[in-house]
Amino acid sequence: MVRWNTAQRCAAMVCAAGAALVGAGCSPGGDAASPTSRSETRTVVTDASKLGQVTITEWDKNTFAGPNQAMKEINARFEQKYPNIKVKRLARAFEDLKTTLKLALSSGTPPDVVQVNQGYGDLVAFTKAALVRPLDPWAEAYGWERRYPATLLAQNRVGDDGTWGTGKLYGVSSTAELVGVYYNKSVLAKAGLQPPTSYPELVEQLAKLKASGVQPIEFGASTKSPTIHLFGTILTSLAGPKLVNDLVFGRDGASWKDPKAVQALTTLGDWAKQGYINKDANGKTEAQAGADFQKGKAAFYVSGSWWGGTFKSSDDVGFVALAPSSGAAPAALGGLGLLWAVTSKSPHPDAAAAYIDYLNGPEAADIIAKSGDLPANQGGAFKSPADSLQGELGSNIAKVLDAGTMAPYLDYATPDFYDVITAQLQQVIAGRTSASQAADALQKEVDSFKSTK
Amino acid sequence: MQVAEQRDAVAGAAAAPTARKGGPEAAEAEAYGIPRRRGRAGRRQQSIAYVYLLPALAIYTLFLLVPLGHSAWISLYRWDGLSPGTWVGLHNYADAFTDPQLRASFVHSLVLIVFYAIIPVGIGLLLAGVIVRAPRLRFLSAFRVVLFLPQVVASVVVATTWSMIMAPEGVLNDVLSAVGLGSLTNDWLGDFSTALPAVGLIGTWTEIGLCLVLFLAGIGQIPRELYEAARLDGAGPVAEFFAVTLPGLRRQVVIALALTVTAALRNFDVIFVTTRGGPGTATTVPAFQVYHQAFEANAVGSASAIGITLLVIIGVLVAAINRLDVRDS
Repeated sequence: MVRWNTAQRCAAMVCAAGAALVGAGCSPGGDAASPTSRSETRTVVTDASKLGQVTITEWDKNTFAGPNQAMKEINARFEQKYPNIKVKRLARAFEDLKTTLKLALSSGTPPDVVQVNQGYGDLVAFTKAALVRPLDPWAEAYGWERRYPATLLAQNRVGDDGTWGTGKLYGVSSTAELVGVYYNKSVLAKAGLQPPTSYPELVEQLAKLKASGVQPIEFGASTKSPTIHLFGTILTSLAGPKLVNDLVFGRDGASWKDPKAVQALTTLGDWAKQGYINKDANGKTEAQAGADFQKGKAAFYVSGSWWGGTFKSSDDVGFVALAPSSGAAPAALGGLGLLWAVTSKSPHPDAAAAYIDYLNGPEAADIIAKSGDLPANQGGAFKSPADSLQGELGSNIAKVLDAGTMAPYLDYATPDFYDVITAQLQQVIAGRTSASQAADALQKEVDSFKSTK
Repeated sequence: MQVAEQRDAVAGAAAAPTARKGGPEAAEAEAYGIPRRRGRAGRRQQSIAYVYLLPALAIYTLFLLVPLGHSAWISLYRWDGLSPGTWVGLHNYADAFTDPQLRASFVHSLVLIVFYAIIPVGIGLLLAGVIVRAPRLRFLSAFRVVLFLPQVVASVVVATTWSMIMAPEGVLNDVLSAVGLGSLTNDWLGDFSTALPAVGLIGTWTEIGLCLVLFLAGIGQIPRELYEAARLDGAGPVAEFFAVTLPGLRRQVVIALALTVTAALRNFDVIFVTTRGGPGTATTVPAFQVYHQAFEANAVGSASAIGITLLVIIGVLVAAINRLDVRDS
């Protein structure tokens, strides 16, 4: 009986403490700076050598061997170019960076330059709390807007009302990503097929491969994100990049119940039912599926340029971004790598901007390309051999950027969309929900986000 | 922060019944509701006792009650963790019960209780009932170590191992095919209908050892004479189990239930490693939702509300389990 009294006492203490805080009119995060509307009136200095002795700290997510090496080289070259600026680096794995960045940014002494994930979860939340700085004056001074297609740079923009995809520019990205179809040359050759170049060709080949007893697509959906890559590829091919952009950026009029979107969902379910994708897809991880594809278990693997580094070790693997119809320019899911932003509390915005400018310049682009990554800046001199996997990735992204046919990752639509859409797609693959039910669920999530914004 | 804190709170709740074992008399007195000594001398003694409690209370307050109060406070706001929050009253709590996804996560954890608590305790009792019939137990301490191993191994290792076993091309399916049961092979963790039971069975495997070790220790304390008397009276193995073993193990069963039910409800690590709440949302549990809401969905208020709700549910269940002990004695 005494136990209960103790429990009651504890509960009472907790309530009292909570009530005291509520009574005092506090609210969590209440002492954060007021939302952005601060206008930048300072003069921008673009000659970094005139900034005096400065040390800037940068946080990035480039912990993999290739990107890590590239990052080190870029920093060393930048310091060489501007001996008055020192760069202190802290690299963290993406997931760690995502969670620690929030705490670091709201602390009194955040790093100067940080890599931020686009979308509502991170970038928009940071701009709402005024933790990162709008960089428009520097973008104008350095001409960043001329380096990238406007549709792509939109991913780094946030409006003062918290709308993502339009408004002030908060940074630029040094790398780019592209989702497309990896194919196994010898598996295709054995089936008497040429690598597809368009979506209708792919669909035709899927049926032929299945009929001849070859697994058409290897797919690992248990990691969740691959569902977005496969479905996004179907959706972009069937509905076109414009609709995908409108859906993700929540532009008026676009709805997930659009017949094209429903058709794409139906197609995904059909591919699973027909066995075009492996039966155990929902229990396989992205890594397992990729390894199985590389071993020649299937003809195709739909994923992003980040697999290039792994697949380049086998001569059999090629890459293509599909054209929606034969003869058209390829259209594909993809985007910029994380954007490089300057924190609001950084005392050295000019040095930080100079560093970001260098990171996105042609010299850095060459270093990035040589490391096996795809630079966002296409102005570099270095080109991989055209027939190598790296060369195919590079030429495909150049074509997509040129044609302005890149579609953003679908999970950016709302903070919770990643979970909602991957859960729905897993259910569509398992045949547990119909295409129209899934479309309803997706649109409901978008509507409820819009109503709370 | 929320998850860690909740775990501490849970550990506190779980430790309570164990602490009782140390002082059987005090617990007995408490159980029978014998009033403590009152009067001047008693009162003074009591106030001195509180002075001795102060250091522990200070630490408890600083690291547990204050963060708990802080979470309770945050749970009343809609807050993204960065910009100022908006007061929403009990809205986050209402969401925890009305949002179909959040509600489903609580239902999933109830299903997990069956696999984490009820089945292991049942199997543990059954095995204990059999072992007690063995004439002499050699290597008992070696058995205990082996049985207890799953508790010692880090849960992430356990979960990783099991997800490899249950993978589409894992050992389990290989064994099934090898013995001619190829038609039963399944994508255990990826199939909507088997994912939750599959995760649950990992818990069963982990918790059986704990239950059995507790029960074996308890059986050691049952006077041998009781068994002899029962056998003299002509009791068979079943009657003996219900007349002697089960009543003698009542306290251990209560402890085992409290620990395993808590383990079922605060399950995060196993889910995170094996399924991440998938396929779809078939295996989401409240503790996973706390993580998801706080760190992925920027809904710190909602995360806190779920955490507090979970804490209350665990508290109520553990208190109810403890009452089993009191009533029957």
